[in-house]
Amino acid sequence: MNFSAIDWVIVVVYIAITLAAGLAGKKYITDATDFLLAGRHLGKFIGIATLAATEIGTITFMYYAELGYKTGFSSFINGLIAGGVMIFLGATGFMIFKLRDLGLTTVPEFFEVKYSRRLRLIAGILVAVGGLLNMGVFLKVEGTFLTIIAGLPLSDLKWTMTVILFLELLYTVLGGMVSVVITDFIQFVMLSIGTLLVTGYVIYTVGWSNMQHAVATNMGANGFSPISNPDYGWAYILFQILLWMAVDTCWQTTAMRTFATKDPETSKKVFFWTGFIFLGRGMMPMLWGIGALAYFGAGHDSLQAMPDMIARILPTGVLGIVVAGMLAATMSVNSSYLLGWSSVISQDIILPLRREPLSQNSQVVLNRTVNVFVSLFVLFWGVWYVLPGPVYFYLNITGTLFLAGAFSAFIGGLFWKRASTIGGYCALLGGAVGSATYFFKIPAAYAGMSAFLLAALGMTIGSLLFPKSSSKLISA
Amino acid sequence: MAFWSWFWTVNFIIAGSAFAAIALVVAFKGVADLRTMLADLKAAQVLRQQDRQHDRKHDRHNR
Repeated sequence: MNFSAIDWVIVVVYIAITLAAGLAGKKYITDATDFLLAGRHLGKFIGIATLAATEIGTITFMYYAELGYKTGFSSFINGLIAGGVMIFLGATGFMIFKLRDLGLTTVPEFFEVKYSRRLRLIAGILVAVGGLLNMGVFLKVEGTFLTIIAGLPLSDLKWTMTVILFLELLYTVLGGMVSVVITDFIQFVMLSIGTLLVTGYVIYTVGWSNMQHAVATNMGANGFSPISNPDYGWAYILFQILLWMAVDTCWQTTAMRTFATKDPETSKKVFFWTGFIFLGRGMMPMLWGIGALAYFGAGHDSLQAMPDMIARILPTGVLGIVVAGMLAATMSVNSSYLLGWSSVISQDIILPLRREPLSQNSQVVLNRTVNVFVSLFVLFWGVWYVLPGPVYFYLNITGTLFLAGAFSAFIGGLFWKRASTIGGYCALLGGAVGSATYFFKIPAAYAGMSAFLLAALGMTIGSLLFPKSSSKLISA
Repeated sequence: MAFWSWFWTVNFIIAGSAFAAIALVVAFKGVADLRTMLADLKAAQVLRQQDRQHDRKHDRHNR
């Protein structure tokens, strides 16, 4: 057991404060817009906090540290692209300005506004499948981190996963987005403290020059250059740029923050400043992985190396603060993702299939019920599914299943007058087929690039062959 | 290799400093933002209740 009494006290106090704050959100909920988008009242600073907290989880630290451990400093290219793309979107307002202006609630709703109701349903199913498969591995990876760092036996992993899920489900079901935003703020502060503390300790304990030496010895030039590293290269870089453009605009949990801001100008500011946080969100945990390489050498389990190192280098008290920070990161991501995928299932799959519209109160009840079922799926998937490769690549590909097609359909719907419903169908199909090739041993970079290419081709050819007038006839 | 080593060191310093600075500003200014959001939600709730009461009165009057 690495935890002392003081560490446990810090973690328990943090959990109690978060739960109390989360449960307080319930009294602000009167309709589905409050539940799903906090009434669209997000300002700049709280917008930055919730967007950053939603996309920084223990899962993020784990997969980025794994990349750092395996590919050295060249892994930093991932952080640079993630942050750079978000800063570009925030500075220009490209896509996000128009998306906020449309007043949407979910991503698939865009497909009904610009294309057809049936395409919204198909998009909803793809979003839900990709999103649930993506989130399905979170608990196991996060549970592994927390179990190792607390010094608990790995046989306790299932119980750790269940407790984490139960805590975040409790306030998400009751307070929806309002609770998520309140807790995201507390969690953002905690996870930032944790992230900076660990980074400082890793540099202080392991040393910058030792890390550079370890990468040079184990990987040579490939550990520094993302161009020559066989895991990356130009195809991968191009895929990552497209992927991050798609994540920032079409990924349900990110898009919910765009839709929930006060106005399009606030959305731009939120994205611009969060982009800088995303640079550190990538590079700092990658450095922890590099630190673990220098600390243990190359023979360690790549996913467990970073938490193993942290458990050894952090002193009592600091360990408690860091674990509270990581728990904060875990809960903020999971609660937002629970809400995000549940909202798609309820708003874009169940509601369009019903002939009679549901009242606002019934919609809130439906969302809460779906929340519980999504949690159960995530718990069971996390227990038995075995990852086929590095976590980061698995998450990229399950995300691309929907993102590649959605990105083409979004670009077409927003900027091309000739974009038609059949083009939308072809884009979604092309994106899904391209990304599925990863599961047939095609490298992630090529599978991802082919998904975006096929989706773009599908949108263009489908729209040209079946223009708007004819596609309306076909889809009617 | 020397170029990339230098390039990533500079990038890391910028990323780490920006993360720390923005986190600090958001931690302080976010509290006021959060209060405004909750106040706006409460105000919208009151408005909705008033609208509902008004509608009920209007219905009774019409009957």
